[in-house]
Amino acid sequence: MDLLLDPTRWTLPRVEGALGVPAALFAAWLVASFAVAAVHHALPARWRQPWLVGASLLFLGWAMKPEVAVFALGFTVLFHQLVFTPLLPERARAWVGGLLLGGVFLPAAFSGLLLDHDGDSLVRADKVAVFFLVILFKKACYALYESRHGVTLSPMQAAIYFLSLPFLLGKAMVVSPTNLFASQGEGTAAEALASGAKTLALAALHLLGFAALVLAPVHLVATGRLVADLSQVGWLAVYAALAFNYVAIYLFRYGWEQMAVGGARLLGYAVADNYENPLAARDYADFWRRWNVHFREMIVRIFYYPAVLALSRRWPRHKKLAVVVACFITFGGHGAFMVFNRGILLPLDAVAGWWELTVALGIYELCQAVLTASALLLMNKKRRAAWGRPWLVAGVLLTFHLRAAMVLLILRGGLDLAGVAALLGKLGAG
Amino acid sequence: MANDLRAALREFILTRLDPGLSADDLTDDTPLFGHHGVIESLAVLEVVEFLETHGGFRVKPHEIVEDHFGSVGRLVAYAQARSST
Repeated sequence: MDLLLDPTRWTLPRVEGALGVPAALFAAWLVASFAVAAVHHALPARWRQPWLVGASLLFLGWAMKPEVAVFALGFTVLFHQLVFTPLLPERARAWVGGLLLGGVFLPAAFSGLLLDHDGDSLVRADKVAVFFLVILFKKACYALYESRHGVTLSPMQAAIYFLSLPFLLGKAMVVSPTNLFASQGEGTAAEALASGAKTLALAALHLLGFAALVLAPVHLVATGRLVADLSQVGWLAVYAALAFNYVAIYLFRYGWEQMAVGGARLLGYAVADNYENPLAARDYADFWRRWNVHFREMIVRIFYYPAVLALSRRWPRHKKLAVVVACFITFGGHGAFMVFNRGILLPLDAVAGWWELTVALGIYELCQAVLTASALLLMNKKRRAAWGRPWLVAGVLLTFHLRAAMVLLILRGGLDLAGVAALLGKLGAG
Repeated sequence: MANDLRAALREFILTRLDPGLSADDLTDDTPLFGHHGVIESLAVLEVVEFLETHGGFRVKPHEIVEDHFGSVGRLVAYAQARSST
């Protein structure tokens, strides 16, 4: 505790380093969010969307690197025109949208045109741009998926969905276009502002908790670098430190993603929480239902339901097998997004880095698929009630310690995969 | 038709999906979907089969959303809408 309260540890550059965002930008975002929301609620309804788009473009121009801002704006306009307007025949729109994502967005993101790579990491000024591009890509995938099933977006809605919320800052949540625009509540301005302020305050507390953990000396043990000193530290310490690191990851993710939720609520969008108390999970599968709720919903809708329905209809007498195979397909899709999330940090020619990333995520997703499928098949309400709390606690502990265990297994096996182990130690849960 | 479907659906939920749930606690608005409900990744297959058997239509994957599967009331409304198309 004394170390945490030591004022020399809480210098501004160290806190900025821990959170990954300059304090001035963070403060500007908070002020802008409240100011934009206040004006938004004061305006007549027909002016609110144009106001939100205008304010967002101003913030985009101020906070983002010019090349990223221009790319995001151009991509949004082009994507909307090709996918959500009658410019192309209906059957061609999804294909063209997919080509735009795979043939334009991904090469631009990975080529170094938009981000300055510095060795195998990014300079700090690029972190906000990285967050923004990662979320923009996921949102475009989600919008493309919904467009195939009859969802339409007006130009204003597209601009709000892709560029506005949550004002470009943080590891935003990926709520679906349908859910976002359906969440526009009927509440008063005061209710929206109070709800948003409460969410932002709680998120800020989580970020402070994260900064406290990162600034504490114990975190030095809880990073991937500790793996190199395994012989000196000991297995138990490594295991405990990695598990401890996952608490830090939870605080970081909750903080930033709920900042996005709070920003949306300020404007009257009653978006659901992105974390629904994962510590209260009943089993492994339930943990993931409560973690990163909006992105999980996207993955399940895009991968799991189509796969499990198609397979169960093909194998009507083997529905459990259909569930297992659908789990592997789903985590394969999840892994592809994770590779994008992390790969955007790597130069294209960093072959070793790409190899380590792919192996690490492959191991991770495989374990996730096995554990989730097991939980789905073995756990039901009756068994949960019969087995009682110890099993539930075991499920949560297993979740938190999964990657720590994987790191240990890799190292204990004597495999020359120190880089993979370090990555597994550092990866935030998806 | 709606009342028949509602009654059959309630019985299906109370006997197959969540035998521990009391009939009084299962209203038209009781949340069924997501972590707070009984329709989970595996149970969703049983619900789909139930709807297809009783409603005579084929559920499409993109229709498995809270708006349609979120409660007994929503399921009945969804089945009615699909049956009439």
